[in-house]
Amino acid sequence: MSDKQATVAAIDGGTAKAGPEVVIETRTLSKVYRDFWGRTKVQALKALDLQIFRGEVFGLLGPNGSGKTTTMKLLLGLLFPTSGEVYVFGRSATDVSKNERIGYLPEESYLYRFLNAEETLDFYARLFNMPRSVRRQRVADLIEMVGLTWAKKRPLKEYSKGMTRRIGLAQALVNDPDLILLDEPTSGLDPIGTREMKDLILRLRDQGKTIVMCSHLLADVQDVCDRIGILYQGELKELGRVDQLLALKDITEIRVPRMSSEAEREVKAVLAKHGLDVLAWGNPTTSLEDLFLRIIRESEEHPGLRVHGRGDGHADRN
Amino acid sequence: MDEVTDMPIETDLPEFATWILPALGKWLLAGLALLTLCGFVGLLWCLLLYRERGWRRFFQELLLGGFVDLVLISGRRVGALAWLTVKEAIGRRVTVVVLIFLLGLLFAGWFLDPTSTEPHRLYLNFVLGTTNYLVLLLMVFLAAFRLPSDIQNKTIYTVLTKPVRTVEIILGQVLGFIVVGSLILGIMWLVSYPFVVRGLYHTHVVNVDELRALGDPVKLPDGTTATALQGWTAPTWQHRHRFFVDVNGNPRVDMERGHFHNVTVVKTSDGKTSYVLGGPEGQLVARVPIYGRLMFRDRGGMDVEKGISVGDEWIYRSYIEGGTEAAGIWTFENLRPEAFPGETIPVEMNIGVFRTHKGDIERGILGSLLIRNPENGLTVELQVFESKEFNILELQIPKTIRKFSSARFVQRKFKAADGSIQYSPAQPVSAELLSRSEYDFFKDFVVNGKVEIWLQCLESGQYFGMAKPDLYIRAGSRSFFGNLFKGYLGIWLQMVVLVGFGVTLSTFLGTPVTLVSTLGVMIAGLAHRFMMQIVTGELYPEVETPWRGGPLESLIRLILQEGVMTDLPQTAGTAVAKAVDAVLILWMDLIAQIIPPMDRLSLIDFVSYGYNISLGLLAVNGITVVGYLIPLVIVGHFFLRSREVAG
Repeated sequence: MSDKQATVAAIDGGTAKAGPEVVIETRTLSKVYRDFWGRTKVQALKALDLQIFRGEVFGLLGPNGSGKTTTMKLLLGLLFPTSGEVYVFGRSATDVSKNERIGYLPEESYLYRFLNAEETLDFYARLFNMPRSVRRQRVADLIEMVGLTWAKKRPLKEYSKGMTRRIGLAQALVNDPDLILLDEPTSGLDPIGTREMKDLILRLRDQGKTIVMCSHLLADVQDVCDRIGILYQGELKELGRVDQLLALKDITEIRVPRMSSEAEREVKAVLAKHGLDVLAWGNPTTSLEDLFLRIIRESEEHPGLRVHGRGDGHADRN
Repeated sequence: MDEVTDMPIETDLPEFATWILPALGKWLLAGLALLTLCGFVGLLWCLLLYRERGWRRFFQELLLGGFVDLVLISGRRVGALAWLTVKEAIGRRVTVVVLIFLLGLLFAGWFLDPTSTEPHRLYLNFVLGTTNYLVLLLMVFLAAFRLPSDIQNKTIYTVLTKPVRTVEIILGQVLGFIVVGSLILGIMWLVSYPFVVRGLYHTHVVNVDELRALGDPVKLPDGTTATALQGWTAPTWQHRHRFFVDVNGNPRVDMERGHFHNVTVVKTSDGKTSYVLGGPEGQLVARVPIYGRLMFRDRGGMDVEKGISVGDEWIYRSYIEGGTEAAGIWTFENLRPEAFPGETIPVEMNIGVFRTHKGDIERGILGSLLIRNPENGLTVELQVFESKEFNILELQIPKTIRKFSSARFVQRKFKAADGSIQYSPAQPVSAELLSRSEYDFFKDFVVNGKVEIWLQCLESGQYFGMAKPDLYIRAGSRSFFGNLFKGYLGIWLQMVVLVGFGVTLSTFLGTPVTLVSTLGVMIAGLAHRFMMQIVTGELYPEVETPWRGGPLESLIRLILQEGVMTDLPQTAGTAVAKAVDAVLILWMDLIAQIIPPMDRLSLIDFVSYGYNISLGLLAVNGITVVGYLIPLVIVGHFFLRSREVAG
């Protein structure tokens, strides 16, 4: 069993059974937004108790105004708690030195649009006090990793949204952080970019990094997160492992390749003999994302391939 | 006696050595008061916003964390943030300001009148004044937009989530703006010098045939005879110079409108002599004045700190009464013979005149200049001069004094600490010394580098007004180019202090409010002396109320049509008005103490009036700016640190 599996296995419903390092901890964390006169405008977060462990991908879900972004900003020290505590790597979130080990990708890539990609990454690397030679190598590696080598001299104001997200991600990784906070990481990305982002998240997790993301795109969360927390009106309503939370324990699914009609009849007979109703029987569908990525891959392999629409609303490919 | 039409700087110049310690004490006191005030407001604010967690938020996170941050400043991070500020400023097209300046210079040539009596001052005031306002306004706008737009665009999120201390953000911005401003000022300095020199350039033609003989022919050592010549140059820019050629054939022109021209003798192929004049000289100068300590002697001959007030006059000058023993006594120190290589010691003065009767208005008031040995009391009257208002008189004290009207023994009379009248020196000077017909300035009057120069008004019923910088010994001249640079350094210092205010204000105010506030600081700073005069009552010293009247009292006087000297009726309304005015004046006093003295930082007058800016003055101004910058950066750091930028 790998370290990561050991860590994940030790987590159950948000409570560590033994040993894994706690990266983020909040204790009855609350945030009240007040107006100039100190009157309560809104209570954005109510007594949040949460622990996030090293090496896991944690998803924070919830509708608009549920407190996801407020939690994220409290973790980053961009907001200060009204009551309760928040610790990152065992230090108060208001302690700037914790940022040495953190990478943050905001929802919109809030970058300086007059800088080019190289200048942007070099600037953020300097904020980590990196010497010039280290910076130069790190910047080149990151630009290559996010596939922007061809556009590294162009100012960011000329970048598309997808390109801006990529450079935003690169700046979040400039210090090779142990904890990465991603706010809507796949927002604004096309399906290829989305897949690449998800693959990257899993790769980072495999490197032992901790990732906290909040997203509206539940499918993306489901694909990459080990654990999730669901917030609603500032309160934590659900917390646990994704596979356990989503498992329908009283329904059994069997997947078999190339089942013959004879075998199908026999299986149905056995089920009927035991008095079990078959709720669904058929071929599973692939996801739209997989279909899209397959078509793109085939199109790259066969550039002449195109679709002709038929009168019945379907298409022939030739 | 030469007369030039330059005025010195009418302000009390601080001396570094005497200024630094009291200033440091005042600064520490003000810093402590500011810290206490900010701490108190900050604590209240934290308790209001964070309630029971407020104490911890204030003492641990804000105060302790804030001071720890101050010692963990990283030069690389500050450099990165400064670089970002410069890049953004360039992105915001600050270079346009340089273009506006260059365009201004192009068109200014049409409007600046070189035929005026003092064209050099016109040109210098235009160039330095334009630079001053352009750069200051540019900095106000840049500083007001930078941080608020970072917060509004949320780009600050990606910076604050790195290990960046808020003090580094403030320092980075201040440094960045200073770099931008320095580059712009540097360009303006380099461009303005040739602009002024070229703008003032002119020459004159000398028609040899129009020169007339001056005196009889003189026999030269080689046996030939020659005659001195005189005449006028041809007019250019509505003036001409008197032209002389001495018997040895050496030509020269007289000073006119503050300048002269060097003359080159050219022999033509047919053996004739012609004279070619170069460009104007002596206009763009940087005179080095040596200032003395000024004391007064009252009409009874007693030493006093100040002269008399002549009523509604600027309090800057103290007056002495004519036809009495009253005198202004300047004591100069550290005079060394090697500092004066010429035959004379030049003294320049600008004396205010107050006439109690008109007299002959065409003629100046007569005064006399005396020198006195501070040790033995030997005093000689060197010159009687005619003073005119607003003009510098240039007098020469010869090193070997042969011409003087009287030599006498003069005692200083003063009141000792125990109240008794003391005389200095007690013993009279020897009769031998008094009877001499020739004195040596340095041997007979200067003791350990110390000498006294006395000024008296000779006409009874008339008054001379004087302040410390009004009479000085001119030690020589420095490079004008260097002085122009120092003038730009003055603008640079103004810019630095304004940037400090702009950046600090932007840590807790939005763009429009920061813009208006920084502009307010700039305007109030440029009128700082006026504000201080109102606050201290110096502006209307004759009005005796402690707060010298205020807006409400003035309004009542306007309505009642009462002058400022008359007492108002003692009603409840006037009492309330006076009380409100007293609070307002206290408030204004506080503002005046906080606002930087930007008018004092401006050194434009020194450059345009042709006075060298001393390193001591630059040091005083530089330290003043640092004194403002340090608390501004610290306050800005705590403001930004306490702020929820994502709130």
